[in-house]
Amino acid sequence: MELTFSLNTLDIHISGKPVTVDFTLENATPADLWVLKWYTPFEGIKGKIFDVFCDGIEMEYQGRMVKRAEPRKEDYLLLKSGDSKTVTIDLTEVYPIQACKKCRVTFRGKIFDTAESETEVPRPSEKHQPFSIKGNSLIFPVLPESI
Amino acid sequence: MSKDVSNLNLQVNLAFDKVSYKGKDKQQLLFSLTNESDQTLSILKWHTPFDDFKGDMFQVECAGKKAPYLGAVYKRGIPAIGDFLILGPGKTIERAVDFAEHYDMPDAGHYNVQFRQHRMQAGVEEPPMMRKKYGKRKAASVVTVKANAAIFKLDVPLKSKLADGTVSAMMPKAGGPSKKVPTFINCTAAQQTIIKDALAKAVIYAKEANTALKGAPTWARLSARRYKEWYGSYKKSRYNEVTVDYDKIWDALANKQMSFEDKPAETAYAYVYPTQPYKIYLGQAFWAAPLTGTDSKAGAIVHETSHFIVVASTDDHVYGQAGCRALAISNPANATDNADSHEYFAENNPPLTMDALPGTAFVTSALWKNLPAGFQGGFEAALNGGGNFSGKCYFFKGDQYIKYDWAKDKADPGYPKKISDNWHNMPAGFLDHFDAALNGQGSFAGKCYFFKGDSYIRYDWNADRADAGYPKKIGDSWHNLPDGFKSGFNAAINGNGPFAGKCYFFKGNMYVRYDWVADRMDAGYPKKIEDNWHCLPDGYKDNFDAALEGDKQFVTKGYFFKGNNYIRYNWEDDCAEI
Repeated sequence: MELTFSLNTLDIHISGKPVTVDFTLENATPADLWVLKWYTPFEGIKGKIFDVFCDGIEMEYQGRMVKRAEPRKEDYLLLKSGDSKTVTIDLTEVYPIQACKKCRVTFRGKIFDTAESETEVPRPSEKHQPFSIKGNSLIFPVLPESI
Repeated sequence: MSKDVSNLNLQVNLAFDKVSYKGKDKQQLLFSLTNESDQTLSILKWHTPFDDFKGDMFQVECAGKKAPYLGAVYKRGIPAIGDFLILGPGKTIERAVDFAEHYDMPDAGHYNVQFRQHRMQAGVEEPPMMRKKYGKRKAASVVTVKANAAIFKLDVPLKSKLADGTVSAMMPKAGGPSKKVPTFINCTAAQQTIIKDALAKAVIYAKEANTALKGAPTWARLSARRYKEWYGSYKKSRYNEVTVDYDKIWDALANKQMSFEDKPAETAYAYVYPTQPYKIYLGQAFWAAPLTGTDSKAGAIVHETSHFIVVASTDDHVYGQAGCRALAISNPANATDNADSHEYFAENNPPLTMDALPGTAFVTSALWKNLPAGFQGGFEAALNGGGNFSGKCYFFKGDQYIKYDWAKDKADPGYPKKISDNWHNMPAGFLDHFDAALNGQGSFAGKCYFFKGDSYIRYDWNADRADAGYPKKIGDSWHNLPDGFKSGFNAAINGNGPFAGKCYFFKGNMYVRYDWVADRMDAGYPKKIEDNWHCLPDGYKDNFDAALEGDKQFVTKGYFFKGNNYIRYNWEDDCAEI
């Protein structure tokens, strides 16, 4: 009974084309949760939140890194008990994914803050107690554009 | 090794667009690269015109005189995938560059231009593998690069760009900060002024942080509050990493072309793309922040600059002072790699120092095990066993002694015993109450010495008896000791680690250093104990009862006893331990 994530994508991707991944956050706890979107795909990709390896070689993160101000209420996502929400991202926007036999994608799984009631959010960052959530990783081939 | 590396050749061809130039003509150099091998090659663009003019790629000479390079020089990190180009067998790729502006070429005459091809990196692996090899410094290229030379003629002499000062701002400054003005995008004049102020303060922050880390003596680094607060427990490699980080941050802020763009819709302080130095995007929180202090404008610039891969390549593991303090404790390695930790160390608010914390005075009986009643403190001398007795140490008090086993880390049972029962041939007057005891070293190894008043005796470990002909006067046989240091020692100990080969005699709040090889006291002594023995806690800077070298698993320590307590001195760190 916890907060978990799952990653879903196509079985095969083509080099030079977008590598879209569905990111789902599921609240299996008995309580409704307000989840801070920081460092989850629900705010886009604003930090090194994925590790991407092509045939064992780490793909350099080419996106932005942000020094954040105090969170606002709209930085929280309401996830009712038992519900899940999904967002789709394109990894090639920030990782230079190459043609390879095995592309491995893992989400770092850090959640900065959650609260059970709306009145508690937003919470100042010094009160945050970041924790890790569990989920799957992805492995798929990235075929060369012309085969 | 029979790896086939035949025919991996790249040919560079240089050609100017004209044979001769007049005055300030543009000079276009066409750089072409041909893959003459039968395999596809990955070629790092760095140090070639395919990466623009980011270094002194050419050797340019006129009448034997080298033309100085005027352009930028980039400090490189690890190449990105996009830094490689791929060239199929037999293919050629070309790039034209404006040549004249990058070299100071005032003289009329023939100029010979050669490409510095030895800096090129190319291989048959695909870019990700090439990149990995580069990261491991295994980049030794198996591809042979050949290049022709190009010649052009300058018909009339020109003004030297270096001499007339028009390009001085382009030259990287060796020492102090340059007058380089940052570039601004979407910033008002008022905002530009604020950014310039914040940048100037950020330069000071980075320099001060680097100086504080570099300047702290090695013995203070272990316990310095300011370091510990943000980076946690001391480890030499991590400390050095952080020190270098601030050097690079300073270099970027002071010497590189920084660029700032306001993003009015962004609520965050700021963001960067780590792969794109030295551009910082500013958000609403930046403008609301104070110029200096915690989470300030200057600190945010330090934070963001640390992210660039060519600078310190930091991550954002946690944000905020509370989070960073917790990270320093739970994961010092991540703290060392955390941008906010760098910011807070640099801002140093609330201010902390890089001063050492005093060491700890431990209760002897709490940590030395099985000490018999009456032998839990107030020792008069302490000594390690030699010969058949090595691995043991002895504590003396009155006419009795006990034996301690280093490996077992506990006192042997059956003690205390009387000195006269087991130490043989001791002369009258040397059967009770020693001032100090010390093992000989070098040509005096195998002997130990007992000091009392102005006299001493020598004991032979193998014979297990005191040598004949003693006691002698300390001042007669221990050379070069000043008056006042020829009697009444409190304690004696041999140095270890960086201090091996020396021994030390303590008296009151002073000590002298004696050299076993020279067999004389080193010049410049006595000195005050607290001036050179670091991190001594209050009350443990004088009048030691006894001192003892650690042995076995404790060999890096020296122990100083006083009353019922002791301090542990770490020879390598040169400080009393906490």
